[in-house]
Amino acid sequence: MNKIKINFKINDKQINREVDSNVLLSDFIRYDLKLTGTHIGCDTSQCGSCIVMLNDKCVKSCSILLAQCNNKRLTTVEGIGKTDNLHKIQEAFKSHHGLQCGFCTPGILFSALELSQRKNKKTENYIREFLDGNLCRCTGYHNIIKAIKSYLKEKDLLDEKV
Amino acid sequence: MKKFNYHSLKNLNESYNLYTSCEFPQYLAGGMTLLPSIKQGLSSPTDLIDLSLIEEMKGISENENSITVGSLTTHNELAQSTIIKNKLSGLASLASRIADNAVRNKGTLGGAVCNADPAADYPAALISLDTELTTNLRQINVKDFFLDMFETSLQEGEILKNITFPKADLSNYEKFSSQASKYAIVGVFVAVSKQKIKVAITGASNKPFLLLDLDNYNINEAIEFNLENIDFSKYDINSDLNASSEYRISLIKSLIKKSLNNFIYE
Repeated sequence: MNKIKINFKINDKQINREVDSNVLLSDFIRYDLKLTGTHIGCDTSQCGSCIVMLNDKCVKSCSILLAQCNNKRLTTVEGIGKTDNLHKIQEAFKSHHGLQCGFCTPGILFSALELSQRKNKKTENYIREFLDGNLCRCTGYHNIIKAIKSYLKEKDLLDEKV
Repeated sequence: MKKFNYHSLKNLNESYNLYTSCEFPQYLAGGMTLLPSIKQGLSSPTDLIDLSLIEEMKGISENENSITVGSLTTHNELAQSTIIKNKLSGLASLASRIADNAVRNKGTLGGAVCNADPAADYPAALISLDTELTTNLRQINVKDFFLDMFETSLQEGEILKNITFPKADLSNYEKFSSQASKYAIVGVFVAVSKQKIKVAITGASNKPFLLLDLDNYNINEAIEFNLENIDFSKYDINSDLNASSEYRISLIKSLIKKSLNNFIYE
């Protein structure tokens, strides 16, 4: 197995490493960089808990090799807000009880952020469809939808139609 | 994780040459099927050759009569492309309903087509629109491309560069999908060019197929056609844990009706 040289930015920090060619992005983020906010739920690309942003687009980090991220820009949940200075989307999840155990939350935050950048009309139905690919076993999704709607409304992006 | 060598070259011919020199290589595009397959032990390549840096396999370009899409185009790029949305709206809609958003950001047209999953969505569009597939070695018409379940006419190491879709006046995709995987239990793509319709079905059989019974009808003739008269035994419709063949045949008929009605109300 060959080693590969890899350079990428994660949460604005430059990383230059030589790594094994078969390392998964999710494993590198958690076990090497110790950024444990990214969760590994199903490890079969179904649940969305491991979603991070690669060049501002959601990807499932359990199904991507670190090697595929060369010269790219990554954001994990540690890069969007701090405990004492939450991102607006995190504030919205906090106020609307959009999480219980919180395991799926980092992935859902990124889906919500990408959704907010789309040109599509952001109706409740669109939000629900967009979250296909993020599984939550606690909330029943209703409070997640409420949280995302309130975030979009604050940014004047919400389409109030169903 | 299984061990393998990873290579990423910017040049198509160099990638092809490397492939021919490796023991059991596989090309990597988006990896949305391949990497989960490797993780589950369903595939054990000695070498992964990442094609994602090859510029000539990227981009969407439009001619007078056709649109050519690079095989590295992701599902979301296809779904959001202005050209595709305006000229082949059925294809844009199809791409927007593959798997989920994070998969659509990474999975590619070429990867999905070459994998030839019998329940994949694109094959229906490719057949209905009578596309031409261009590889590093030759040009292949779609009717000679899909051979069987996960089997295409690509030779060992051959690389799909792009796909040329003739423009259609109308196009529409309807699918009834597995709720867990979003793969089609039945998918129906209908294209209308010069008043003639072409209906292609995916998910229902070992390979996607053209519904010959409605070939070259106009929309009104197709709406009046009694779908109950179609003898589906010649299409070898599958039964599996998702659906019986009787249920799939029923879905094919109702999705065709839905598609045709969409054209009328457009």
